[in-house]
Amino acid sequence: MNRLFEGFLDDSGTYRAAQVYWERLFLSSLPHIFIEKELKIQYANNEDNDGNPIFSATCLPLELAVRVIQQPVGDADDLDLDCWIDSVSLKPGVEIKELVISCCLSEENQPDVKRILRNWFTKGKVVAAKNPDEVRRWEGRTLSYSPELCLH
Amino acid sequence: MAGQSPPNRGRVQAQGPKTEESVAWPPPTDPPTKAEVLEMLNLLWAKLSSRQQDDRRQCFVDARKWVQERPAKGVDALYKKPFTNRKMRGGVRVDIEVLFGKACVDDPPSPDEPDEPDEPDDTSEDGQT
Repeated sequence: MNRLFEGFLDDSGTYRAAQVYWERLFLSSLPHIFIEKELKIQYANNEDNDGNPIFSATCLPLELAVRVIQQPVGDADDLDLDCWIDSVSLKPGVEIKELVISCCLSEENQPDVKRILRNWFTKGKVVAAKNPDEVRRWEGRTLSYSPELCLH
Repeated sequence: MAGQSPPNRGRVQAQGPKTEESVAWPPPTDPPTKAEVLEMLNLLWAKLSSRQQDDRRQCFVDARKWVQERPAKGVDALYKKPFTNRKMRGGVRVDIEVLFGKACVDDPPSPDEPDEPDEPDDTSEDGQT
């Protein structure tokens, strides 16, 4: 597994580089170019610099948000990529959908992460897997490498 | 204050496929303290089935540690902290969400707590400090 930004928790330069990476990925996932005031890019009020979250952003016209948790390398049987849908409050009484990505970023799962983000901001959802085997692996407790996604 | 949102609002919740349980802090004037948030985690734990508890055992350990390590002033909204089970898919986790105001401030000293002990003498019998 070729990890990206592997030492991000130990080195502030690597941490910042990872944040810039996520920001670029977010911008490139949007269906078209938005002006700056239509986007809210931030680092989620996290002073701990622990990667949880490392990045968050909202596209106001699309009413969609994303939050990224970058995980350090963990146990051998830890998932390298997971995601779920949450919500975030823009102001009292106004909530929008938020995609949360939790991953230990690598060259291998990078294409999946890009696809998840692109689907989120172009289709407003994470696309379900078509292959039943992939679905079973995704829903089960076993590992699946670079899985197709199936969220409910 | 009628008609206004409570100044401090948030919740702890257990989330994941087929799981959605939460304990929200009531609308206190003062932000919930660390001990109060830890107690809410206890209440949340008690709401879960044994399977749900098993899936989130380490999540609760991590969440409790995080609460105890917050600075004395607590954390300000908006702050969402998930503690995930990295071995399971679909966001199996415990969340701590500070939605308005703040939370996890230090507990006030107990009135029964003894006063700080006097400073020890700066010299011992052999003259060493």
